[in-house]
Amino acid sequence: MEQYLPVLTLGVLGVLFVLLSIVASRLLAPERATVAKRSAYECGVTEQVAIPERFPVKFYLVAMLFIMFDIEIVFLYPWAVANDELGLFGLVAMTIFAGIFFLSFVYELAKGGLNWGPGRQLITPATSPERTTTSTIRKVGLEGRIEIETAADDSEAA
Amino acid sequence: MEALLAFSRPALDWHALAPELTLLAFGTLITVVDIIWDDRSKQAMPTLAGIGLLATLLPVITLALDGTDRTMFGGAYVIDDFSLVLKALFLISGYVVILMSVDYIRDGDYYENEYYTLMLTSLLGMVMMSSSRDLISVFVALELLSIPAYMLAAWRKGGARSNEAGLKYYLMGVFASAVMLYGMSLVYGLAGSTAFGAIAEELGSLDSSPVAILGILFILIGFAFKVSAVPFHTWAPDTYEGAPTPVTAFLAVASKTAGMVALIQLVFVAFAGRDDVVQPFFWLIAALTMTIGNLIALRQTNIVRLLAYSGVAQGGFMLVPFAVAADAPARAVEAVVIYMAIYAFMNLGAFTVVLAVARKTRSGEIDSYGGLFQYAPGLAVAMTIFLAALAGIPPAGGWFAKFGLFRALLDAGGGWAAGLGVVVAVNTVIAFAYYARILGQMWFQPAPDGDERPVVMTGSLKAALAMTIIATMAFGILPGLVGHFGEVSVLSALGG
Amino acid sequence: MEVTGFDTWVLSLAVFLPLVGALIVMLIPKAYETELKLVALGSSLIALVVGAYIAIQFDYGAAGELQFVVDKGWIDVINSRYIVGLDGLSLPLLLLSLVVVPLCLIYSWNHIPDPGNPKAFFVLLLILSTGMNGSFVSQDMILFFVFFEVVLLPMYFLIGVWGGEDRRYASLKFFLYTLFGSALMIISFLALFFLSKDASGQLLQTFDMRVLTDVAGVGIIKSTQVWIFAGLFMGFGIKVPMFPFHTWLPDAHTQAPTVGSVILAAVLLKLGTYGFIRIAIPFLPEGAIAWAPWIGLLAVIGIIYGALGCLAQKDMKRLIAFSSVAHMGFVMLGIATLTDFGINAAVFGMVAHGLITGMLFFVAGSIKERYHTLEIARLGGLLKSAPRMGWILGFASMASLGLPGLAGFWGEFPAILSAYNPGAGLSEEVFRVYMVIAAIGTVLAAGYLLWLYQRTAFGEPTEEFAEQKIADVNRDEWIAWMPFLIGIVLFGVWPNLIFNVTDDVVSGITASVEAIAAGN
Repeated sequence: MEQYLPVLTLGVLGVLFVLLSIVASRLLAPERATVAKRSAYECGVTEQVAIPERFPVKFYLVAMLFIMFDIEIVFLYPWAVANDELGLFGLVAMTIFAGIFFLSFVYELAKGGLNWGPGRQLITPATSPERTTTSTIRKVGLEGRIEIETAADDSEAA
Repeated sequence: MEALLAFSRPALDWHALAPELTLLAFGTLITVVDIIWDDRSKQAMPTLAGIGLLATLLPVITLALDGTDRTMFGGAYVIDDFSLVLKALFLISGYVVILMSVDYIRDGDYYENEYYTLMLTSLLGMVMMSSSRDLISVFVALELLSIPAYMLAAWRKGGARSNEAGLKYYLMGVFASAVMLYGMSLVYGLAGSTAFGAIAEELGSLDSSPVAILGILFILIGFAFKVSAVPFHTWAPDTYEGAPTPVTAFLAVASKTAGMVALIQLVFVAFAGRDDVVQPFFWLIAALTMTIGNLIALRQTNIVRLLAYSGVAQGGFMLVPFAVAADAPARAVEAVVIYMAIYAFMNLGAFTVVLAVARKTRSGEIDSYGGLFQYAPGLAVAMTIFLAALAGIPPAGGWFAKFGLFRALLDAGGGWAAGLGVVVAVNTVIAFAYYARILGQMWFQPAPDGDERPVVMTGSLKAALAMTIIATMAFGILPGLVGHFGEVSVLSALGG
Repeated sequence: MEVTGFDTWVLSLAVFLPLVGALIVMLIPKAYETELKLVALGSSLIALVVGAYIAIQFDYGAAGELQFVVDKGWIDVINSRYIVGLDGLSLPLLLLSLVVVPLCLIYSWNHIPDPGNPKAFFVLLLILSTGMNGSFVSQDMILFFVFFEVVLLPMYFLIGVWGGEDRRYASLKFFLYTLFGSALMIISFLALFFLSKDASGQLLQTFDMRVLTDVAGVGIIKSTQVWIFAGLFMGFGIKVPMFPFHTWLPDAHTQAPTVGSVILAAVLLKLGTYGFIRIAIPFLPEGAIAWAPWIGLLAVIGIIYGALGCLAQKDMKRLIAFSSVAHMGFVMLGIATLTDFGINAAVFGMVAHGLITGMLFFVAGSIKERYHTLEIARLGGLLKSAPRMGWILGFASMASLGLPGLAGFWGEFPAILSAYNPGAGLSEEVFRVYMVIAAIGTVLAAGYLLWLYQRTAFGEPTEEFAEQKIADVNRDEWIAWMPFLIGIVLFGVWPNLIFNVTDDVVSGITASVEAIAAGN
């Protein structure tokens, strides 16, 4: 088990450092709060409106797009480095991979994932007004089925 | 570094990969069609998905007729009789689930193309799982089948229950994956290889290593979550109840079967030398799962929840042969494969009836089944067949599955195996007590509110019902049909 | 014996014709009530005709051998085959089952109990019939198991749908008890499959009952035999039912509709005792010898307990149900002696009890239909209000208490006698004590049956029913009952009709048990 000792030591040191920093700043730093210091930091610009409690759901869609392409890069990079060895086979494989990946981008585009205007109705609402509380297998009550606006207005909650 | 640079193109056997590629192509096709035609293509989606599954079945059949074992990627991916039998089972169960989904998804006005794409993707993961013979490919297949399933469980996105179902399933699933991955890293660290064969050799010689035991246990526990074995079952009832009913059927049958397939490969091949760890673990887990699943099922009033707990208990029955994995390997594999095949049809059938009845009663409460025999005798008889099969009463199919368990246990012999046999026997009786509640409600009680309007059946539900009834009865009267598949599976599963 | 032509089909026909009838009935719409009843009755009558053909073609000179044997592949993977065959032990029981079902159909023709639905009622009876017939001719353990279980669900529904007040409880209890027994039974079957060896020590791995009878458990050590026998004992003992597993029976009988009770008493209970004679004893002679004293003990407890139970009953049907426990006690005592004499008596007792108790349940059902009660205190004067039915009740009661000249006598008397001199390896003292207790049981039987008869048939009708017109036996009832009455008299005066048929088989079984006992 000796080989794990450095790991353990490192872990202990890490925790100690964090604790020390917190304690030290509490003890040593003078506390003179002002309004400016207390407010949220937004690139040096004074805030105009109250901070939204929730992000528009669009943020997540864009974030997912980022992750998608991040993953693609993760695969593309090693391929690019090893391109000489992989040759034509690698190129074909990567093209197919990228093609399928591209499809997901097109899908998001087609479903209006990147339409960043004012909130609009989803193309296919998850819940239609004709649906009653009784048309599912369980009697689900009214949860989530009240009005179509609630589902569609998420983006305007901001 | 030298080894990496000397890249040679891996030999791809296109015939062997045809099922996976077909499935992938159809999943993509559905998305493309949806992108191009949008709402106008909705009607075509289930048809397309169904054709996709049947088209995938074709190469599976040609591969089976061809009969040669094919190995790819350094033994990580194998096409043999065992994998082909299970691929076919997954595809057919998937087809029945799609038949069940058609009207549910359409009437509910849910997203359609995404639903079927995800369903096909999940099935792709299962189809891959049956061929995986290596820790990495098992893990990839597992994630591929699980992640779409998390989303499917939350498909009734307006309902809080369904969201709860999806979230619980997701969190528990991810947790299980993490535990499993940790176990895999330990095992890899000891064995120096991810291939099952190499792992078996290395682990067998490390009798006293606590790390080896830990690694094996973590991997098994990870899969115990997947197959909802007690005490790792807590997600199952909430998820099953909240998820859309066809998805519940899918999870209860296909997803569970996939977990079992991975367990078969792990227990009978990779951990073959470690019966000191594996056998007691499964003895305990199987006994607990059967007993607790059954006891809790006794108290349920909602039929989906009841079927969920019954599914937990049935999973326990399937785990029984693992407890004699080393003493009677051939019989045990056979028992699990046969059980999975029969279970798939009888359970899907039961869910189909639940769906059909819910179209009229709009309820999943067992009380709402009163008088079913009066106003829908066909459905009542069908449900009776499925419940009798689940309870293991001949001539409906399930008896042969239970019989397989007893056969494996007695072939192994010894006090522990016989003890587990008695636990199975007692549980069979407990299980019937709650199946009888449904039977009693259907046959003995009048319809609630005297509402005796008939149940309107749709074509796809009828087809699903016909398929499951025929399979369930055929397996019961001519068990040789399913027994044959069990037998060929054993040869290839243990031969490899 | 070489089986050719039509003879290869007869047993399968007798078994599956009712099932075919059931399937046809299922396809006939409910509205065509007469037609579907006719189809149902027709299929069971054709099966009976086939049964008569079997009885005529049966080679009585070779009653000890299986006849009409068919051996076809069925489940190859587990080495189980479709083997049916008939010998002197199966023949009377198969015929009993074939006779009882059409009579029950006739009896129910216009008497479908609430909530009606003759289609379902008849279909279930026919499926039940297939299960019973199949059990008696199966010569493969798995096939036997399947038929044995097929019986369960139809009976469950018969009790549950058409039964009395507590029908849900009674039907579930019936089912759970039997299911538990049969789960242990299948474990024992598998143990037999894996452990049985032939004389040279070769593992047999077969479910073929003919082979297992021949090897008679050689190669299975005694302690193992005792365990396997325990599993079989649970499976068959619950079905019989033996004390202390009998508690499902009074509930099931009381709540079941009339024909349900009749079939339960006449045929279903016999599946248990038949299993002992056909499977448990010949396959595991050493286990049988070890268990016999305990079986005998439970049998005599059952006799006395059943009789005392009868004396305490206020309900006529429940009383008959308890008398069943007592009578099956005699049958089990006969079996427990492991003698030729005792087991023959047991087989006779099975047939006799089927006819007599079946008859009693029929009468009870008809009384219930007319008086809408079976409370003994409220009945009375049956001989006045419906004299023919009163006489029939008297006749069946006399038969039931074992009056010489009627069938019941030949089941009880030799069973008691055989306990005087039990088979090889069994303690004489113990069995003689059992004999005495069983003899007391017959006295009690006379007591409760005569008392029942006195309270229900003699005297004046009670005030409650004095003014009412009580219909006497009607046409359907006469048709349904007549064969029972004839059988009771016929077998009573000519017991060799059955003894001659069964003796060859039984002596074969006891001979092998004796050989084993002598070897120890």
